[in-house]
Amino acid sequence: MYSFTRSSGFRLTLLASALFIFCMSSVAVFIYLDVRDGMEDQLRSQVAAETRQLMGDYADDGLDELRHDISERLERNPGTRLRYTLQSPGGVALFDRVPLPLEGGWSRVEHQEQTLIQLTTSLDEGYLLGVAADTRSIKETAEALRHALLIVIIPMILLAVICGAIMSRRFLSRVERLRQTADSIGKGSLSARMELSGSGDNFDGLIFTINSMLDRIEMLVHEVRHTATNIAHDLRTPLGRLRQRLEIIEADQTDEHLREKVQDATALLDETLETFAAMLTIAELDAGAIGKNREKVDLPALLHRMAEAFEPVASEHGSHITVETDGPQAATVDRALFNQLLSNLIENALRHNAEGICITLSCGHENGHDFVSVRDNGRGIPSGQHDTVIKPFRRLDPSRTAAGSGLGLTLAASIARHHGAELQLVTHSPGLEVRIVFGAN
Amino acid sequence: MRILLIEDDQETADYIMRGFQESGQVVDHSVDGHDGLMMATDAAYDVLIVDRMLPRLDGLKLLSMLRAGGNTSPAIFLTAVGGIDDRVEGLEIAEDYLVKPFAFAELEARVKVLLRDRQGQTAEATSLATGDLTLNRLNRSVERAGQDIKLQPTEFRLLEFMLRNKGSVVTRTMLLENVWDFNFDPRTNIVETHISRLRSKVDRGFDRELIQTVRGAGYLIEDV
Repeated sequence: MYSFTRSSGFRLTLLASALFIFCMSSVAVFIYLDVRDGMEDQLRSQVAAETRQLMGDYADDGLDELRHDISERLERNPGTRLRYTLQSPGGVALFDRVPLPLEGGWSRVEHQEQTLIQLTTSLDEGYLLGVAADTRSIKETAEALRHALLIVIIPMILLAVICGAIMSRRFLSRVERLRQTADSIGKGSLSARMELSGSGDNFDGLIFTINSMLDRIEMLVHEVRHTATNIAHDLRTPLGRLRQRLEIIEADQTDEHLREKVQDATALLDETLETFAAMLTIAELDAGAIGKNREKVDLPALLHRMAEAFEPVASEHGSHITVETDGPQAATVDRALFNQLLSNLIENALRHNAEGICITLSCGHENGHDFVSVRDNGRGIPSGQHDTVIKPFRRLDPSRTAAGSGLGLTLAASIARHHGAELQLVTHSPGLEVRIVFGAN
Repeated sequence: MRILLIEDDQETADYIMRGFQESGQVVDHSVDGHDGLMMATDAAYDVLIVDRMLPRLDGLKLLSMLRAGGNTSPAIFLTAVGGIDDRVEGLEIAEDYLVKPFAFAELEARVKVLLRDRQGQTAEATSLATGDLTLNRLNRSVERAGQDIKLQPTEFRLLEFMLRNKGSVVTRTMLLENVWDFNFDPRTNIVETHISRLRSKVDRGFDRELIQTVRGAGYLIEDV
């Protein structure tokens, strides 16, 4: 079944969106960090400048002047002012009383539920001066920035996903139309063609090339069919005359011995005609020229009917046929061709094995595919020779040359291919299973 | 019985005419489709035997035109084109389809079956019988001289087909097509083994053997 999440359209949209989201997020993080760091640098510069000014006064007029300067600053703008702490060598702190580290330098301090950046400077006689700034403004600005970025980015991401989906859908709908056309051609509609959009883009170029290729294939198939029909007519007509003459000779013949000879010749001619008919059918099947009369058939009923048809023959052979129907209940096939396929497989099992075997006809489901199989517990075929026996006129050993046209499995494989199925040989110990696996081709 | 044969190959035509004339039938012959169409329109024939590939007018078109004109004489296509799809196409217009080369006995048997079907003697009957053998199509039972005979589904279909054509030879190919729905010749003797089983159930223990083998042609169930 066709899954949306496995479609190229979905995957392309997902990839484009992921890339876009990654880029947008990177830009947002960069802006956020840059703004935050810039604001902190600004605060530090302010603290450093204030410290420098206080230290200048301290250097000129001593500790009393410093206390006086700080007191003056405390009275200015109580909401936005800096924090000042003067700590005596005994650890007694004055003014804002922000805790000071043991040594001078920059530090980050949590005080009265505020995060402060503080510059501590050592004075003479063990005094410490701390000037600190509240980072709340950085936090508020960063928060506002984050909020703004989210408001912009989320719609942009959604927009990117929608645009990606629309664009990939437009692009892939043409690919899908291409696939559907190829599929219908594969099923035998050789006259199907892809439509040009008229834009003259790469796609149109590709479709033009494919359509030209299909024109050529259709012409070749038509020629194959025409040739096959002509061969059929031109070869069958003289062979037919030959057969008629043999039949007239047989009817007029009174010598029983000669009559038998003529009958043998007629039988030989019939065999040759059958081999010829099989070759023609294989050629026509492979060219997609025949077998278009598909219908839904009841698989268990079909297998039971085949078992019943061949059961007396199997019984004469000292063998028997059983049916297992655990798998699919129906398949869409050309009934006449499928009957021939199953007959060929059952006859092969009877012909190429010693008496007393069990032949099992079954339909099943494995690895996501429905299959129909003919299994026997006979001598089997070595797995190394599986490919060989499917080829036309190939036999495993001289003893097999005696019977059959050498086209039975080739014809079965052609019929399977024609149904979008694959003929697979599976070795059992003992025996051979011939599986027709639907959808595996 | 009056037969119209439309066949461009003179030797094949001679062979067919010889066969039918030997059994006392009247055969008119045309070598091309156009003349054949005229002949079929001018006179009433019991059976038409039409080659598919004919000069001037091919067999398929010829028969389509005849049917469109209201001619309902049963027809057999005789052709060297034996593909499955050709067969389906042919059987949409003609009553039967025979691929060249063929044995005359095959053609003769098919012609007789067509005539029998046309006369409507047994095609729709619910019960078929010959002598003391009766086959009931409704309850799918068979009895001979009052004795029930148990048949497998295939054996029933086989006997039913033979009884519908009692008194006429049915060939191996006709049985394969009508009983098994096989349009190909299996290499194994499935017809012979099924006939043998049917015989053992229908004829064994009775004085008269109803199922006969006609050498070189097929099988026959006597019309008693």
